[in-house]
Amino acid sequence: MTEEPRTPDPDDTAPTEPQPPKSDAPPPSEGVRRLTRSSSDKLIGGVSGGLGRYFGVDPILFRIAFVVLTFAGGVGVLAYIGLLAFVPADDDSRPFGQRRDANVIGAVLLGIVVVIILGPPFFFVGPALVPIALLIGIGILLWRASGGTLPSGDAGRVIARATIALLIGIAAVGAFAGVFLLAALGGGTTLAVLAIVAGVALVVAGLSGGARWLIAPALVLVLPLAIVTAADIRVDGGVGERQYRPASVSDIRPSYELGMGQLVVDMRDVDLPAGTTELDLQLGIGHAVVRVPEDACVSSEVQVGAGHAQVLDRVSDGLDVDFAEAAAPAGDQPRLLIDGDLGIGALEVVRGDDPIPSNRDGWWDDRADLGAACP
Amino acid sequence: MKHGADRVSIVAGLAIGGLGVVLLLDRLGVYDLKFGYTLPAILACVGVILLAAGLDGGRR
Repeated sequence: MTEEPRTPDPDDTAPTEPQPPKSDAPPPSEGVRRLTRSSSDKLIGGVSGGLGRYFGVDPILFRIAFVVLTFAGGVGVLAYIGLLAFVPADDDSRPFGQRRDANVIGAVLLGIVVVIILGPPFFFVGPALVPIALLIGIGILLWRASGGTLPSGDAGRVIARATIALLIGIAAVGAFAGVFLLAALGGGTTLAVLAIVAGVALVVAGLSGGARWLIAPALVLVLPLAIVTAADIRVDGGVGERQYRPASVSDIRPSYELGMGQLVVDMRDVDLPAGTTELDLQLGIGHAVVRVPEDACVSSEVQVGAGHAQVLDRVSDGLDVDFAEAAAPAGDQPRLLIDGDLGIGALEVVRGDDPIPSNRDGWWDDRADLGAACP
Repeated sequence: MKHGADRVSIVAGLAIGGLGVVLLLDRLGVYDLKFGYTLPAILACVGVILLAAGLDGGRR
């Protein structure tokens, strides 16, 4: 094979004129079209250019489609990231995860941040967009930590690389869970200070040459801490299943607390007096159930970091669940004020002997109306 | 940029340290962080680090 005397131009890779192979690698099979990202017709990663070339249409159509789909639940962004990850570039010179690709993924993640911050009415963001984007970003960081290139060579090397990547993943998950638990047990302030120290150490090390190995441990430190902080999770109240059935108002505890597990407070035997009686619940992670007396008007102040809350006919779920219901008792009707604070999980408040909604098959799709705040 | 300095480490340090400060302020009761702010902040932190790594051009 003879070398061209001039420097190759990316524009030479015209869509209709396949280039002769420039290496010793075997040429692709004749007549088989291969979907690749375009290195010559690209605005971001060459995905639309490649699709346009593959389907023989103007790439602008795909660009418009990606933009439109981005406004429809973020699907366009996810589809673009997926194609960027799995469709190879036509020049094969930049393996995924290195240089420009990492650049693009970083930019896309920041773009998602903008989408989330602006929110409706500018964008209609699907609820799964954030966790999926987070998993993609963290996965790429871990992959880069294991070398950042696709394994090549003999089977032994490939298996060795895959094993290293697996071990790094397991170690990261273990460290993540450890930091999560430590933060939830009340060590959040110390961990936040450690995160700041790690950040300062990275800056100082960066000024004198760098210490990139510190980035992954610092992220494993700060990410679970951020989740625990956002959900206000505290698991220092113990682990397991606890059931309380006070017989009178005097038996009601100032606060019912559990770190992780199931917490049941059955108030059916309590003869509530006129006026307001308060019931305070705090659960870190798990399921809380409250059975209220038949004759009580139920007011509620509920906060759930991530999960589900149903107080009689009031249902809410997702992230940052936060609502308050003020019941208006008639005459001497007793009023029960439930102050529920959950990190991650579900809170269900039912009246008397009513069944617990989540024990019913298909309850998530067919929410039962458990009656009004006042009987 | 100072000769020999590693831009990626510096950017990562600023992002992680900044996130640490935000989390510490929540822990100290200055404000109450929610997922609505925390998740975009995490995403921005990871995105900025990847962006810096990409712009760095593979130098280590």
